[in-house]
Parts: sequence; structure tokens; C-alpha cells
Amino acid sequence: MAFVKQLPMISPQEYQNWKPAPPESAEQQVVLAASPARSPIGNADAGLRAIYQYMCVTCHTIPGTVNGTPNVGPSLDGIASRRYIGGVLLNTPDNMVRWLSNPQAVDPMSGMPNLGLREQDARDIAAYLYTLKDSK
Amino acid sequence: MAVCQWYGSCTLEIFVIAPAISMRAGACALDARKRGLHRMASCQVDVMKAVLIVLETAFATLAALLLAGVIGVAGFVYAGVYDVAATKHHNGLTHYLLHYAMQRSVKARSDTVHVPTLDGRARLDSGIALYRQHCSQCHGAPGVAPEPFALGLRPAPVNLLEPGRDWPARDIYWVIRHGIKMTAMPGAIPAER
Repeated sequence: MAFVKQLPMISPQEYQNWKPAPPESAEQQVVLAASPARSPIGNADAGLRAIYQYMCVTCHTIPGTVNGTPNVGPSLDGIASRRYIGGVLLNTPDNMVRWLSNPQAVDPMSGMPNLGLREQDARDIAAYLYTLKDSK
Repeated sequence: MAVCQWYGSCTLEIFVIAPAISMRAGACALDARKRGLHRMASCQVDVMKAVLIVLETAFATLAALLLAGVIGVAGFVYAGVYDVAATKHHNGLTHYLLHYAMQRSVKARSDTVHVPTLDGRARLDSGIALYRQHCSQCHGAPGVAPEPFALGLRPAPVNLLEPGRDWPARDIYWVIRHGIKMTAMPGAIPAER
């Protein structure tokens, strides 16, 4: 944003030759503490937001979301009650997080790509999916 | 006769005065029939009065609704009610309406597209090269995710398996050639200018 506000004052030459200023000190870098042990699944509300963010809805029909009824991957209605994930993994919370994080690493034959989910997003999405119990 | 000036007076005219005049006209006509036809002309004046009041009222109602509509739309726009944030998805009704309108718009324009034979390895080979160059970045491919930037687009670029299965070839051609306004789908520009 700061740069866009400056944009009207910058000539094409200045833009071409722009050099970043040397860093003032290395102390500003934040060191992340090792994350404490977490439960395998996260927050369902955050999961619903992440489901849009990673465009899960462009392939899967997911109850509680808005995107028509795409029929590329299977509908996730009742996923909490299913025995297998992707037809290959037993449906446990750990396996769900593992599958969401990188389905291609579990089954290279799957059409579901690796969407580069952050681990917390995978946990949150898993939490939402486990709210989708079999309605029958 | 004066056009009714405000909505309350119109209501009065259509629900009270017009029926009263109609009834008077009816009674007059009955009376005229009993006495012979020479008094029918004066009854017709009453009927015309009643019809005029109904027409005036209908016109005034339409004008009032139109004005209210224009003010409503202007207020909706100026107050910024509509949320343009791409971090939020459309609500269900808006999504359905926009998507349906898009499909109808494409169908209304794709009739003239001439579809050649789509068989043949050479065509597929050139198609997959073009798809990798121009399409998979946003739409992904079997087992391939869209690029990270595409995950932020709203409306989200669809997975093309479904239109590939369900849409006629001429509709798909039309969208690739012309793009879709207000989405990130660009129209194709000629490669060599």
C-alpha cells in the first residue's frame, strides 16, 4: 500500500533502478517458538473459511457452503461417517489431516492435487469436515 | 378531471370514487333501459369518468414505484451496501443468479460458432500445450493445483472437468474466445499482432 501511494511520483527509470535499503538490524526478525503439541483437529469455523480459501468448493459439494453442486470430486456430505478417505486411507483425524495436506503423497493416482495447505488450515478443515455427519 | 396528486388521494379515487361512479353509471344504465335508449349517452359519460380514474391511479402507482426503485438503487450504491471484498464469497442467491445469467448469456451468443471435428491427436497435443501455458495457472488440471495467486480469486475459477463433461463445445469455445466480464477470465487476444 505504501508503495502504491508513492507510485504516481516514481519515474520509469526510478522504478527500473529501485534498490532496497540495507536492513537496519537483524533483531526485527521474529523467531517462532516450537509449536506445542496440538490436538489433531482444529477449529471448524476457521475450517469453513479455509474451505473457501483453498477453493475446495470448486470440486466438492460441501454442505454449508455456496458454490452450486460441482461434481468433480465426491460430495463431502456425511464425510464424518465414511470408512475411507480418498478410497485409500482409514478415516481417522490424523489421516484426514495427512490427506488434506498432500493427497498426492498418499495416492499419486488421485485427481485431488496438493493445494499447499498450512498444517493449521488442514486441521481446521478436518474439524469442519467432521461436523458433516451422515444425515440418514 | 384532475390527475390524482398524491398516493393517498389515488387510493381514495380508485377504491371509493371510481366504484361510486361505476355504481351510479350502472344504475343509470338500468334506468335508461327501462325508459328507452335516449338517456344512454349521459350514462356513458359516468363510465368514462370511472375508467379515467382507474387509469390515472395505475399510472400514478407505476410512477411512484419507479421513483422509489430509482431512489432505492441509488441509495444502495451510494451507501456502499454491496460488499466487493474478494475475501468473502457471494451469498447463495447472488451466486446462483450470476452463474445462471452467465450461462444464458453465453448460450445466447454461441449459436454462430462453427465447431470443427475435435478428434485427432494433433489437436489434443496443441490443446494441452496451450492449456498448460494459459489455463492451468487458475483452473488447475487433474492432480495439479492452481497457482497460489489463483486461490484468492472470487468468483473462484471453476474446475474445468464439469464444463468439459456438460457444456457443448461451442459454449466452451465462446468463453475461451471472449472471456467473462467481472471475473478473472480474460478474453483471448490474438497471439501475433
